[in-house]
Amino acid sequence: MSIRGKLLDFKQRLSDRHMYSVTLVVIALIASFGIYQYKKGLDYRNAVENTYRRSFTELVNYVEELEVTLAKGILVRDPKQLVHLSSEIFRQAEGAKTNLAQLPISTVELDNTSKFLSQVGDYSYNLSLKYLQDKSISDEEIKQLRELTNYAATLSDSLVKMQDQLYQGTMRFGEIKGLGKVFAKNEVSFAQNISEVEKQFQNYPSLIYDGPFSEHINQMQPKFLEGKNEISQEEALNKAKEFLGDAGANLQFQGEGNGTIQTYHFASSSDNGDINIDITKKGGYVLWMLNSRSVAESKLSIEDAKAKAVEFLNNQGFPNMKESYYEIKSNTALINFAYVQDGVVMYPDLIKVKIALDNGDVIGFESKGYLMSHHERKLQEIKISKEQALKSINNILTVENISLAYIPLESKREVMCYEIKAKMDDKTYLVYVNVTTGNEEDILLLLESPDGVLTI
Amino acid sequence: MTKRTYLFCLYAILIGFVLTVVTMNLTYAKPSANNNNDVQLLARCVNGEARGEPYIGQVAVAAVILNRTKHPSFPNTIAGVIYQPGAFTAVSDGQINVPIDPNSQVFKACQDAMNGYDPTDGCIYYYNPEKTTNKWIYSRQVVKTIGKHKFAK
Repeated sequence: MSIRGKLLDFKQRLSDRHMYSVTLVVIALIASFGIYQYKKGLDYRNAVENTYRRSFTELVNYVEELEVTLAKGILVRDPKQLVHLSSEIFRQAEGAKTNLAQLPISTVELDNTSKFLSQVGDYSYNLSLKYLQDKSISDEEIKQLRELTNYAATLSDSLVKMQDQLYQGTMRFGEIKGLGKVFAKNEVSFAQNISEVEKQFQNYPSLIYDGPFSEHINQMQPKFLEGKNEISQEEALNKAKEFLGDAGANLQFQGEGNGTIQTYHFASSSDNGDINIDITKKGGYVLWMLNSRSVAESKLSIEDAKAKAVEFLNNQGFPNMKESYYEIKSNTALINFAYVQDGVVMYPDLIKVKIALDNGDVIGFESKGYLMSHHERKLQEIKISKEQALKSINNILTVENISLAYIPLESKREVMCYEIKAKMDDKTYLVYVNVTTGNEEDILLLLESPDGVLTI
Repeated sequence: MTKRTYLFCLYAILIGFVLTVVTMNLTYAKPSANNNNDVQLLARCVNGEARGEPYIGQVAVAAVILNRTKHPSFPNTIAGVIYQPGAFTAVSDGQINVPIDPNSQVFKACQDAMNGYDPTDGCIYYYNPEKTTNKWIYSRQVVKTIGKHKFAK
């Protein structure tokens, strides 16, 4: 029988057995399932819309508070008051930034607004530190603080306007995926509003100050590579093969890197894993190398691994490196090395070496810290004696060791300090006291375990 | 309508319904036990974004996420960067909820990135030129190409 015939036959049998009611019931079931799904979808959309609204409302509140605190901050001259205000600014800017990042807008529209929020807390904290150290604040800095206050006011105004639109129902946050359908003609999407706000930030100044979010960090140049000659791709390949020995036999050119440090990128693949290596164009140094082979077992001790790493560094032209911290994971040891000049440890000049604990091969190498910072330093003047430094630290600590070191601050500025290793209860601390000013620059917790020695 | 058309509609609806249920279950991985470890979260995101890429490509994607935490235009925490709405497609469509075995390649790649390996030298954006529909991203300066992704500042 043909298909049509079969269908007709089936239809006949259906109507014979009064199956219409059955099909109607099935259709009703499917329809109610559909309605149920639609309602659930509405519920989900409401829940998401509510979380967006909450984040948005918190954002508006924090920015309004920020505007007020900044306005107070410009006038205050008492250092203690300024420090208190700047920690408020920090908190409010942080709260605003976190909530802003929870809203459904792409990072394009957020760029300068987010940067402003990151820098405003940082910058005012920085100024308050200057007051505390009795340094004077220049007119330029006051002017910048005023400008920041104006930006805060602009942002606050725009956000309040958007909040009104939200409450009147003329603005929506959009669908969960992608920016959504406009349900009524006079509705404006949230993304459009935010890009209007972002436009007002277009002339946002480049802030340079002593903090982790300052513009100068993105513009730093590698000190060690200054004045070195550029090498060709072939010379770079030779350097890479020299570095890797036998493992570098099949390296192929992958491309150039155009970041802060210009490089040639080479790689090779094998059954064991890939090897990737970047050679700097200036000077032909290895910026980093990574061999992804897995290491099945540990035959070497950490002391053996450290010895191998030091030998390797000496052979590659990195003498005077002292090991600082290390970590053992998956049968590999990642060891940090810092340069030592005249007995002073230069922590910014960092090289990391990864040793495979099955045969002592170097399977990882990272020298960006060294290439960015290393230079012969004129040592900072030591005005504080060791005894004075020891007196200044909290006397519930039992001091184990004191030495000299250069440490990088959050803003990448370097300071020379006494590194005081001390214990309290069962915790080991590293306290860094500036050799010139006697200020406590940093405190780190030293974590010692069989798997490594780390600082946090 | 004739009986034949009734039946035809009925079968079409039934098949459509079955297909919808099946595809819904395939698209959304069911969330499983969440591990608070930062590396696990990073690995889940990198897995969703760079699953077929070479090892160094996965280290690079993880490095981009970490670079964003240090950049003023982005949130300061790994979770903040990853869960920023619209930032990663792996988050938007639920692929991030697939647990990652600590012995897998992508987990190792994330550990290397957290230990400071950055094949991208500070990049904060990446895109696949064959797949991306975002025109704005082409205006960013490209630093390097690794695998299928271009990395940009």
